[in-house]
Amino acid sequence: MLVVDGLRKEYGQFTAVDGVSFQLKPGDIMGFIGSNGAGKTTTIKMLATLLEPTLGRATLNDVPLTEGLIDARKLIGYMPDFFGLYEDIRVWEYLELFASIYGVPKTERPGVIDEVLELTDLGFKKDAFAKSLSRGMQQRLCLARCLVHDPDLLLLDEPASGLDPRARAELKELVAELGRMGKIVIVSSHILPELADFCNVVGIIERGQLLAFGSVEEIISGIEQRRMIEVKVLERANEASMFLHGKEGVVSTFLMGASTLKVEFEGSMESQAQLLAEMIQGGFLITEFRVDAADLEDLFMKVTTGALN
Amino acid sequence: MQAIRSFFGHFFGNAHSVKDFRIQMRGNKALILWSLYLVLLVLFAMFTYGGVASQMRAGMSAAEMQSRLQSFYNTLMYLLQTAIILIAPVLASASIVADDERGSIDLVLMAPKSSTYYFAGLVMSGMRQLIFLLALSIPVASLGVIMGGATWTDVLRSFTIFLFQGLFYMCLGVPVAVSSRKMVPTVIGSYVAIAVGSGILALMNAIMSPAMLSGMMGGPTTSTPTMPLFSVLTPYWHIIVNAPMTAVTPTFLIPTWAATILMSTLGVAICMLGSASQMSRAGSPAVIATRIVGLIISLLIGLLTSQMFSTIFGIGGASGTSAGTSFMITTALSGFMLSGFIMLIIVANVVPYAFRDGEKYFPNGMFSVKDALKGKPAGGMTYALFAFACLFGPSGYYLFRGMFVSTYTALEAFAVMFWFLCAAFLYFGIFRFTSPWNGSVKSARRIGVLFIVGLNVGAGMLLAMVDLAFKTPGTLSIINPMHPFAETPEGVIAKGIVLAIVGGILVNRSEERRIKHPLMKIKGRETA
Repeated sequence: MLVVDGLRKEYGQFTAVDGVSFQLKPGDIMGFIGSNGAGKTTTIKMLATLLEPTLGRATLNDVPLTEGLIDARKLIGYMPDFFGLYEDIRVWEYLELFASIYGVPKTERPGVIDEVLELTDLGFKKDAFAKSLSRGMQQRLCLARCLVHDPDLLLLDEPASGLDPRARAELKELVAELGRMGKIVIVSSHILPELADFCNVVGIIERGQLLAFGSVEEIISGIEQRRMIEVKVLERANEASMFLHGKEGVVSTFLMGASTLKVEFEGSMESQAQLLAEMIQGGFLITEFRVDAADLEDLFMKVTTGALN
Repeated sequence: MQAIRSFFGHFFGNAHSVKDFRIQMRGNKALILWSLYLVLLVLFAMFTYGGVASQMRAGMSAAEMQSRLQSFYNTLMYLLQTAIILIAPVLASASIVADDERGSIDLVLMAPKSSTYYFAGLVMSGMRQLIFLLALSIPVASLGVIMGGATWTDVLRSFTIFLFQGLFYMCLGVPVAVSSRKMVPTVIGSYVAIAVGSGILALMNAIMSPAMLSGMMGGPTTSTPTMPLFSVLTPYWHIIVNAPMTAVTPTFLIPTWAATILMSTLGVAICMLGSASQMSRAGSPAVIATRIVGLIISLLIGLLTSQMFSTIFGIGGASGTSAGTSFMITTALSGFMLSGFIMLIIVANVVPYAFRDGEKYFPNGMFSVKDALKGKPAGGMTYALFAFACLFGPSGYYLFRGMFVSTYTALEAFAVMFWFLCAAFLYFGIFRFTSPWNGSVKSARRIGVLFIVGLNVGAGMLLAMVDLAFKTPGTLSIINPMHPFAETPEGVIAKGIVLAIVGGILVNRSEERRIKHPLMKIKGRETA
């Protein structure tokens, strides 16, 4: 379990991160969203023990990440938004360096290196020079480096930036697999569609403040009391519109055609289910009943607009 | 056992060193570079030997010929020393900057190893290069032995000294690289660090030389030529003196190569721990170790100064005779000046704080004994006092044993020590004063140093100008409180009191500012 409690970081007069708090459980993949300079990298660097927070605390499985660093670092894998690869070093040598400094016993290193190379699909490049790899492969090599010591928490800062669509898809699949392996993964990005597919939790940060945290649905229901429900009926759309007037939670209805109407709804999920039940009981033949889902981009814009204003 | 294994693991089988070795040995680069070096060395030896041989003539005495051959050997040693001075400082420091520029430094520093492990790896890689450099010069050095200019023992001693001096010079560049993180300032800064370090050592040599020459260090009074303890780290000094022994005390001599290993090890320890300390948080093992080693080195310098006192004042089993009062006071002051300079460096490093540089530098009070080794600002004054005790304590012990040449000298020495304590307090006040007005520790430190330099130079110049205007040469300059020279010991004590009062005012003013600072009110800091 990762518990982040009131992390704050100041640089001179500037507060880069201001009281960020959240919790993640094993298997959670958190999309950490924010525009450039919002405080994503600073937060991640504090969790990676590279920056000392001005205030606040974080623990991973009860091990503090903000003090007693040697123990904490064994539990963390950090992939920054750059590769930091050495010249003239082979893939296996690069991984062996990190396996060694992370304390993997010498006899176990060859096996561990083979395993992480297989997981990242780089086994066939074991003897290649790291610098000669394509950008996508270098990215996967960096991920392999993070995995040599089998960490519980993976911090991936802008992992997909600069990757081609195929490399992005492969990376997404890899991150999802890590989540299935029970690791806590925090993926930061300002490119929202790349996160939507595999993150079960989202944190939205702007100007150093965590404006929203939770699943996309939770955040929507948290920030948006009114939602738009699209209802399709086989017939009698006009009558259905009249029927819905005055029902609990219905603010207004809009007729969108012969068989479609949109309902502006304000209420709990129970009220929403009740509304559907009443329509069925009212004898309307409903073919579709769905909430217009906001995508991650809409959500980000909605959450951050208030903060920016 | 675990601790011993961990210590040796830093130096042998270090992952960074192994990685560097693989990279260095890859391809033909290393082979070409070292072959080129060997060719240049052989050419140099041929030309030098040709020059020496051309001066030899028939009928030359064996002693004269021996001297010529020795000059050939010494020229080679000068060349090697120069090569080490030029190469060593940038070996580790350039690697640190390169790692920083490529971003790999963050990746290795967040591994569950101390920063000293990383520095040790780089230093071991650099050491390997130095060993190559010296090993390749063995064929040329052997020429000196075969021709009769030196013995194999000389070669072995010189190479050991070069290797450990090189190690020390290499480590001098490490803190520079950690602070600047840019290649050009690092390279320049590393050479400047060597120049300044050599300057300080040369000053110490100058201080010790009168004692040596007058037979107080046990040197010329014995059959074996000696050199002072700290001289072993001074470049070229060992070649000039060609002394096989080093004087630790007037009666205790150790081989120069052993003294070099000892002093280099201390120098390397303080450089590496200091660099690791810069990158570590308050209370980390690196910070605590740095502070302990700092005190050990202060004590060593203090003992060195006291060694002068013991010999000069004719107490503590000195072999020499007492010299005149003025000579004693001058030498004592020189020794104290050096200790005072070290004191200033320590105060500048441990006292400044900043509200926004993280918890390590956040002001957590004025005086705390338990924070002295942890590195928190509240421990700054306590640590400075410990350092003062180490630097001046041993001399004080000798001085107050009551075995002085005259009472006047004792009072004079006490006055000077008192002045230095007050000056240290003034420096403390200046750095505390510059801290709350600055955003970072670095800028507080820089402004504090500028303030001190300005005060020293400014006060001297102002009083000298007044002297000049009123045609009273030196009359007013003598009242300048920024130096411990006065007509009487009471005058020196009065100057010290002035400095202490100014320091007290600055401390008081800065404390008012600190307590009222808005960041002291944030949750979690109210008790600070």
